[in-house]
Amino acid sequence: MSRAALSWSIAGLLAAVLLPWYGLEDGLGSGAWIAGLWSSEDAASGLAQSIFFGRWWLAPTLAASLGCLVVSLLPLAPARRGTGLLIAGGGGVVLFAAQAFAVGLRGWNAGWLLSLLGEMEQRQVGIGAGATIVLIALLSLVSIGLALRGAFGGDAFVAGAMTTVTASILLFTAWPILHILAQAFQDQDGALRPLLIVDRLAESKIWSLRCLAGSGGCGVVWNTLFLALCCGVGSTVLGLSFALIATRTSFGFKKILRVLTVLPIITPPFVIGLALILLFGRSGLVNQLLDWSFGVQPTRWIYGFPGVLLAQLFAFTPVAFLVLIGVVEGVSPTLEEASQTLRANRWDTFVTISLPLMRPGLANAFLVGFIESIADFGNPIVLGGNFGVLSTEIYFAVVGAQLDYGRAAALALLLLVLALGAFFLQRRIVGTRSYATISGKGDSGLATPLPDAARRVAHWIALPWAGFTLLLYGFILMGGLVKVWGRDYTPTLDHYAKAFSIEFSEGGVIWSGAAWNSFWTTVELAAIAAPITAALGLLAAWLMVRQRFAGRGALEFATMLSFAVPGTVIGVAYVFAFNVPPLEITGTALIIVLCFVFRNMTVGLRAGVAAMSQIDRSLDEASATLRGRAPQTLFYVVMPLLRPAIVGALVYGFVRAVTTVSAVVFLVTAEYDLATTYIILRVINGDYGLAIAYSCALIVLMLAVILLIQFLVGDRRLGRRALPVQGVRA
Amino acid sequence: MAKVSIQLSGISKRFDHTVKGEVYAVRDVNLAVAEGELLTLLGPSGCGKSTTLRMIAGFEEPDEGTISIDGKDVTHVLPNRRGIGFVFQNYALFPHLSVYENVAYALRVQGKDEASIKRAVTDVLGVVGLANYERQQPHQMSGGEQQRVALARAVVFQPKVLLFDEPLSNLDAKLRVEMREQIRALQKRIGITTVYVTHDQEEAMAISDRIAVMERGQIVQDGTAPDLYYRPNTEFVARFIGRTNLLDGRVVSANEVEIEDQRVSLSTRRPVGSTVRLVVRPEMIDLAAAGEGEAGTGRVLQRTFLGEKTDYDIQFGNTKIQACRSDAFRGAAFEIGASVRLSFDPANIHLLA
Repeated sequence: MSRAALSWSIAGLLAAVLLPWYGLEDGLGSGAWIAGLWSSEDAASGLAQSIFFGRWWLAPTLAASLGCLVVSLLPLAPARRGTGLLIAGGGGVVLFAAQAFAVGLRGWNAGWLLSLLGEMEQRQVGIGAGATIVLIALLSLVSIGLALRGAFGGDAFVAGAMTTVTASILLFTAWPILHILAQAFQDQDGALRPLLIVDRLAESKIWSLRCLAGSGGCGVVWNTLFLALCCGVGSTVLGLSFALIATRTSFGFKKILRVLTVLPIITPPFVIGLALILLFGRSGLVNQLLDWSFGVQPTRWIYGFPGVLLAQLFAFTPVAFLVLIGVVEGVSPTLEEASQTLRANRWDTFVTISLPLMRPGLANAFLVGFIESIADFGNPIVLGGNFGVLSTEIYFAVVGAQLDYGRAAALALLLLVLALGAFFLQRRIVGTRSYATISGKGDSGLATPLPDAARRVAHWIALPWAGFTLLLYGFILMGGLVKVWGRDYTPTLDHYAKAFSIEFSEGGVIWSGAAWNSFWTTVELAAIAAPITAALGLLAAWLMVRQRFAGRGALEFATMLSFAVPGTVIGVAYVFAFNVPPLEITGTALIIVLCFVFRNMTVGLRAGVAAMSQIDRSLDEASATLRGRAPQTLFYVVMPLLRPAIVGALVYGFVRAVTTVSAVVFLVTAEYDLATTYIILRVINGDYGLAIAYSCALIVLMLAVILLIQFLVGDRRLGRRALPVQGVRA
Repeated sequence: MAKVSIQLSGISKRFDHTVKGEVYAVRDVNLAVAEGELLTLLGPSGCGKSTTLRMIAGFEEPDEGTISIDGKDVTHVLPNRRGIGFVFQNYALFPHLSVYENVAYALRVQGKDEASIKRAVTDVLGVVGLANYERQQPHQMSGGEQQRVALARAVVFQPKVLLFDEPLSNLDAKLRVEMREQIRALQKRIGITTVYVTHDQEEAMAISDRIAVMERGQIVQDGTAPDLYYRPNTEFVARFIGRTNLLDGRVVSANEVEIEDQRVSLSTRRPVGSTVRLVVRPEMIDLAAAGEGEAGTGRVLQRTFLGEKTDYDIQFGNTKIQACRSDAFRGAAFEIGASVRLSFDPANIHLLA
């Protein structure tokens, strides 16, 4: 550990001397900065900045780094060395943060600093390679210090993992969200005006109840809530019907039902909305048919609440299905058999035993639908029309003519409160699922078939819906293959050609299609983000499931919390937090990658937690008694057993990054445009052909990725992973 | 006593219980295990024996007290630095590794060279009778074989101490007897200090040099198997080890105690007239045919034929007594309802404190 401390101290100091402290306009690639390391104000290293360019406030941080080196070199007892590193490294981190937040683009950031210390000549821009490495080195030294003092069982690896996860969550989830809070209380010039939020939130556009009186629209909050309520109830009913059919009847096409659950994963969220427009829009099939046969004037009913709700039901029913299938299977057949031996018939059993046992699961499914609905951005933006919900309202406040960041922040805050409220309710309900009857003991009973009445109802609800879903996907496929939907149904490949044409010239391949730019950017950024997402998520999962340390509950809470934040809120938060120093990355590819990573970390974490809970802890303990250290246990025992989870996290990290809209819609630029945001803009401009063709291409690509991976890892499942008997601990 | 290898000094472990608040899983346990000794922690579920073992291994840290192995304080040392072999109840074989790789694991992470790993693994697999099983995957093997792989894996790196956590509870009765003999033989052969946890008193008596009985987080008695059987300290130990009659007797003189209406010679310093608790094992009572209503007789309530012996429940005055009797050399068993004369073996009746 002492050698690690020495290495990190040296790395930090080298970065302070040999790399530009601040971010460079053209990055480090060109190498032109090497010449200016001591002479150019832009490219100077931390040391040069503090000596030659008057940025004296960097000096204390550098001194702390030097202090770490001294502590590492002195012949000290481990605990003493740990204390030293903790003081020097921790002090360095604090000094770093203090100067970074105190001095900004316009000198002192805060008024009281200005009045206290006088006008400041110098300014500073966002941090660059030098500053970043110095910060990472300091954080690593703090971890080593903690481990030397005996924290985390004296294991530097665990301490380092812990610091990595905590620091990144703080920086890229907590900090942006806190920034939103601040923004909501500031006016356009950044001055603090606490009462402003009252004005912003008291607007009639948010709370109006006029729709009840039948005149005009309701406020966006009511819209959002009502939509979410309907979506939650609807998707739960539909999901339950599917789940009952899949597990409790002899229905012959259960495989197809399972396919339905994959669809929403690979489909960008607004595609269903597009399909509905093809069917019910003004020039959609149904309207044309009515017009042609009965002379009914086409209406615009699909644009608004009914359309958005319909789209959300299609999009989120599979999610509810996934939740409920576990719930239905969790009802112990033995209990139902017991009920029948007590002379209850099938219907009594279903109503008095099975349904009540599912109650917490049903509530959970409802809240999942509710949360998905309020976080949804794609469908309301495509189908909403005048029916505004919070997520779209935020979008228009940021990119629309209003350009009112304060309002966007206030609305985001409102959305956040709603989402977190539902999330906590859900956590409480999931926490009380104690009578889900999965005991680990062999439960050999047979699931009781559904009573006939219930089966008929489930069939009548679910089967037409499933057929309709497949129909919608069929329309999506066809929509890209005709000239102009609604007017000219001549088959054509024009839309695909426009999007994905390739020309071959002497200079090589020219990607001349309109979609290629955003397509390759998407694939590239998602491919960069996926491994980081999976690694960070699984590392966090490992810490939570397998390590015991003070503050574990807090870490778990923070991570869980970041799942519940709607994408729109995260997007706005990123824009606000990262377009000013110290982290000035708005408009770069980096911010999109970071957004992907921290939006989707949930996937890796959940997969990791689920998979690790299946691996008996005694395997870790066995490794420990066989002298394996924590990292060895992780790499030789846990990781090989987690391989399916790792692959899953990688794939879904990639797929979700490709299909996400809500968060990145604020972060894309002309240079770094993404597939989904490109399509959304096409749709808003009414260019459906190209949008649909592009969406199809994305769906096919995602499907190919998932099938390929399934094919590659599917068969290599291990024999018995969870060892069956859990010992009764004496 | 030989050199002490494992020393537990006043260790306690508390848990937060949702209803009861803070409860002690282990409370002020003191224990010394001599070098080469096999000590068994015996007790019912929830008595703290596994927690004690896990604290020796380092999976849990005691809230109070210290643990030392070979004179070195290891209370806060990570499991991988304690030099212990651990055999888990569920074997905890790495399912993704072959038998060879499972056994080689400890040597691998220590960075031993391939040749010496191969030698050590082959040797130890031979010792446990699994030569030529190297390439098998754990899930292809029977429970007993998996158990032996776990044993081989735990001893291959020559740990200072070997710990067993109910290692035989997943095996069927016959295999259990076979395996415990193997474990004992191996332990004696390499002379390794061993702590063994079980709830099965017969297993404990068969395998141990010494047994420590635990109840509610504390060691209530430790000693050899005959110690515990013939001279239990408490009612709990008396009931837990073997079958027992706990009878109330009355002291009638310095060397006589009365059970119901029968006098048994037993020297005691208790005051005459006081009531005492007696531990009388079923086999310490002899039965003989008697006439109806005679003094010192009881009536057969129930009998259970078990092959080598027959168990009887006998109404003896106001108490019910369990007795057993082998039919060999004696002739016919007693019918239900028959009158029998009880005679107690005074040498082995034990008086509880």
